[in-house]
Amino acid sequence: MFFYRLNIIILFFFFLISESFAESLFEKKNPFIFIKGGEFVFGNNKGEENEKPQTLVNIENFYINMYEISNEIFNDYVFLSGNRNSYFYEHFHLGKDTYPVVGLSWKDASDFCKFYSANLPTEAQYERATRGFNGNLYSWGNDEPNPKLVNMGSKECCNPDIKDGYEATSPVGSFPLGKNEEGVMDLIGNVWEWMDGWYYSYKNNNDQEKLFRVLRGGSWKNNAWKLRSTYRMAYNGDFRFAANGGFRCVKIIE
Amino acid sequence: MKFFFKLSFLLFFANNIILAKPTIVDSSYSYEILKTNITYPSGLTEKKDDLLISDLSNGKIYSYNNQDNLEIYYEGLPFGFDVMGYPTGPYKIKFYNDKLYISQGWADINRLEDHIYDHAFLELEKNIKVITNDLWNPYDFSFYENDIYLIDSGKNNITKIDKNNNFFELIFFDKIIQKQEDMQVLSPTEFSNTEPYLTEAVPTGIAINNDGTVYVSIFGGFPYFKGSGKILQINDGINGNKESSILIENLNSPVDIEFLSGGNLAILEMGTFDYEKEFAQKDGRLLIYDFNNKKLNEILKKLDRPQTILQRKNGDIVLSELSGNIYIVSNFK
Repeated sequence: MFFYRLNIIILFFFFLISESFAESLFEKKNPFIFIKGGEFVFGNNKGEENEKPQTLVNIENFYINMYEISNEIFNDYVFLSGNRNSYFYEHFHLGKDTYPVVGLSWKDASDFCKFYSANLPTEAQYERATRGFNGNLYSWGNDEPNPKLVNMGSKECCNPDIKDGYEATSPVGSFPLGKNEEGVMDLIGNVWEWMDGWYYSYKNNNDQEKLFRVLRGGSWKNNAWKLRSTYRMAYNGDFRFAANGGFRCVKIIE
Repeated sequence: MKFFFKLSFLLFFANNIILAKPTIVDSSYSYEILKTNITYPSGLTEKKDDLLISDLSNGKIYSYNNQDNLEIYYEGLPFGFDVMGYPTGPYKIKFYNDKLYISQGWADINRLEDHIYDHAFLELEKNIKVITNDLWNPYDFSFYENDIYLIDSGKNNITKIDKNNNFFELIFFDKIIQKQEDMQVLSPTEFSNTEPYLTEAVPTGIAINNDGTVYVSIFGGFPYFKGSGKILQINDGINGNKESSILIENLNSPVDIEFLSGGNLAILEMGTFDYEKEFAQKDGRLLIYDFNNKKLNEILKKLDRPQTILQRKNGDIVLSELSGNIYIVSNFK
């Protein structure tokens, strides 16, 4: 009888530390929201050169995290995976539990998503989630960004602005008025988000010799131009010292 | 047999990686390691024949004497980690006119409120006295004719404090224009190839020669591009203002400078910065600039995040490293 109970306890322990348990815990804290696929407007002919040409792209259904990944969730992941923490995890402001994790390389972010059987969003997935099917500029539509909708920067690039109530990052989900049609928060502003894949030109489809990764969505330091859903920031993927760069994950569920 | 072969290979590999020592470049120099068990040795100074060493891991100042005894000289200074994750506390210590002066960093991680000694410049005689804590990040300092020249690596300036405790801003270091190609390595979309990009000009070390000329090392400013460090000479400009001119450039994060007894300038480089791994370990160098032939000589390389240089009265050069090592460097010439 004793050994039977012991076996049960051991099995339960293994369940606790199993991947599926970890995944369910993660998804409970940061649910995946369904985004319907189909043909949608991708790119922007009125944007920077690297946003052109505007085309129609077809993608399949996917799920995306409702919130940017928070420090609390990233700390759970560090505990379970043994991987390194973010650069700012002890920072008195940036490292707070409910705030988005920042200070990560592209690989740090990608490894996190893979640990939970997910991926970083592709640029197409990000644009579909943020601008809907018809090519809105922002997650809430086409109205100019304002401090009620989004954690953003000053009018002149690229300084923080306190009008939205936050000098730097804000707790994830603090701007519900800026959510997208499906209820996904902070797709615009708060922190830039790492995308899957390499930076490439839409025109010739090369991958710029695999030099740079892409971040989307703008941050607490950016103005309306860089907060546009089509703005593409190419960055050295090894760089892990940005106080305004985070991420979220996506899943394809058959 | 294979197992032992692999094991010996691993031990050899570990020995070379973990226990790798600095390499002597100029063979007229040698060094020995001072065994102290201090975790993060930083500031160095001499009090008579004893070497005083500050430890950023516990806010203590130790005294090391000729009989190899290490004793606590003073304790109770704040310590912690800065926003970059580097240890802070009593950065630099210098003994002058029978008083010990201390530049004290700002530990802003997990700190609910400031300690009175935080981001302060302190004087220790019998008791400790706050000369000022209206500073952002006091770092190195030097003395000339009873005046104190104090670097603030947060405000990017030098403050002169005279014997009557009057404060004057000697010079403010304006931002540095970075080469566009350096910035484009980080991001081709954010740093255009037409507009200049400015980074902070962070002063670190200060040294004053016999005629009162001030020299300053400039760290380069985040993101610490390779070769963006400089040594500046501070000159009298028009209208009584001070101006700086470049003495040496293309350095990698110079962190301290010190005039040697022969009049040459010793320079300590922290090394290059890696976007993935922060400051590369074992990439620091000790250099000596010869003013006569205007030549920069490499003395030691592969130092592990060095902090401070001190020349002792006997001519030896002492170096502290964040790895915990303290080196005594001797010259045969």
